[in-house]
Amino acid sequence: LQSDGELVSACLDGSKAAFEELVRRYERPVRAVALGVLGDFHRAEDAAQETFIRAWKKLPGLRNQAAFGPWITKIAKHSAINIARCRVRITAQYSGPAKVIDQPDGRLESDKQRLLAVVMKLRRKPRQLIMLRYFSKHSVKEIAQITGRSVGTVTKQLSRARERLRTQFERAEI
Amino acid sequence: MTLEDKLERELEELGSTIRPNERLIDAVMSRIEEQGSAKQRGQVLLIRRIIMNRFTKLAAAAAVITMAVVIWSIIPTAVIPTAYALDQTLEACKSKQQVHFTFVNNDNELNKVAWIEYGADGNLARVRVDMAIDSNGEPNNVIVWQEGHTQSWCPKRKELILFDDEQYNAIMLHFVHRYDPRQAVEYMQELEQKGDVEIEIEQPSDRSEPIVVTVNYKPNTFRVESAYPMMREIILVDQTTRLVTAIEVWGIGKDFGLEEEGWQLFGTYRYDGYDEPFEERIFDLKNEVSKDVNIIDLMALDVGLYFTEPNLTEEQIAAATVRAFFESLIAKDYNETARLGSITGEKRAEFIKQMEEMNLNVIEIISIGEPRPHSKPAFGRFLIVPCTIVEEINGQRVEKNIENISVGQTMGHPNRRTVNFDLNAFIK
Repeated sequence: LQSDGELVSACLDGSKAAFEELVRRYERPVRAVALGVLGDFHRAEDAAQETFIRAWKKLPGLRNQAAFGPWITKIAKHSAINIARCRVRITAQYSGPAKVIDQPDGRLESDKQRLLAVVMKLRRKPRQLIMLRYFSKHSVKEIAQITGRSVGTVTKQLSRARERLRTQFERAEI
Repeated sequence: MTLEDKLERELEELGSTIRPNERLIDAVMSRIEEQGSAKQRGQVLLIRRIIMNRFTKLAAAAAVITMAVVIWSIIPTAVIPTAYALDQTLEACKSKQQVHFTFVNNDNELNKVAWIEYGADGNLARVRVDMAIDSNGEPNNVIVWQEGHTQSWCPKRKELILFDDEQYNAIMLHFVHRYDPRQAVEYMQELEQKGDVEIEIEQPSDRSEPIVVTVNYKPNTFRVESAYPMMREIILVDQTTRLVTAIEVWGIGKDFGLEEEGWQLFGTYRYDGYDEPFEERIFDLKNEVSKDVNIIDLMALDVGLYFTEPNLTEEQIAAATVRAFFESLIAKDYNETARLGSITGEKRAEFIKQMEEMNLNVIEIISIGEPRPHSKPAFGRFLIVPCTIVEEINGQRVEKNIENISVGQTMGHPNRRTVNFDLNAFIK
């Protein structure tokens, strides 16, 4: 498994296969971020698509290539906000971000939406680990390879991330 | 089950809800494939324009001319576009009554959306400006201005404030002066005549591509107040309609404190609709706000110090307002203190209670000093009024110099002045 930094470097050398690998690696975390803002799977998918296109265009400007994960999630948040904002503009009504309801209409169930909101409140790096572990379903060893850290470091950081999540989870009284 | 186990299980479930999406991956890769090697075509084109030196420009111009001659000789029926001049855009804009635009920053994040409407007489009739949502995705302020009447909605505070204010009229006119493409282009022409800007025009032979007008401002002549000296705007003009479709704002990166050197794109105004009639309802925010929003009509409020004498200077009015403020404290008339501070509604009751609990005992005004402009730009035209008062503390007379009290126009009231103060900061 190549690290994010290696894949970004290969992309900059013109490898689209490397970018496809990054898309595959981060499409679920990116959709999760967009879902956190929009609360709607379909619109989150649109936001994810825009995110990766923008990332491809802006890739040469990414200074720390190993930080692709936090970087792409930041773009995802902005893309989702743009989509949310455009909807507001069209309707000229301000009901805030999309409300989540328990309906099989492409919207996330409310308890999952709340948990997702707590995940989104984590700091960048722990959030990336949680997303790679639970959304992209990578093993600790794979996350270590992706992020260029040791297995021991990732294990500790993941444990701390879960601890932070648990604290916020309690605060949010989920 | 422990909370850890529950959390782990719910995370697993949440993660499983977001299943791999091959269709998305295919769609992304297909779009990237379409872009081919010119993956940053748009940006590269603009950056190329900017860094293109005179020699390469001449070479490129020569190449274009050669190509044009070749095309002309091969296809005699080809349509050669009319040479472009800014006047054509002004002419095209002249009759437009509705202008709609969005502003996105260099990260392509939406910053603001605006609707500008002129009356049949050509005067500004109505404006609506929606500030973008904040970083939490929450809606931000919205302002509607219509012939001197302003509605300002702050969704976070759940307040809709209504007021008429000449100063605000000026702000709206200034806003339009900045962002309406017709006025912006007019102003650029004026600057060109004065020699403050250099304007370069590139007109592609392909009519589907926009005309590119590059406006290089001489240091410190940018048409909008800017703390940064070197500015440039790139105006994109539709070849067919001659209307402005976008204005990109560039600046020197170093001057903006950015890491990258050289010219940087700071944002783009996108004009995506001319003369598309606006819905009436968007110009009355009362149609949109939820029922729990507090509507405050400033014109109906008796706040601040009201004065009628026409020949008073701002400094005299400020001094009189501060005197009235301290007299209210001496009289322990905290309702009057709140009124002079434009504190209204529930906040006034809270303020009066707080004042009574403080047991403040101001007994004398010794002096009201010369008002001077406020040092913080956020306070705009507020004047600081230094003064000396006496407070009785434990039976002792304690003289205090007060330096943080200021006076400015009460919003919506040309003939009223409000005191801005922080009791905790100067009386304890």
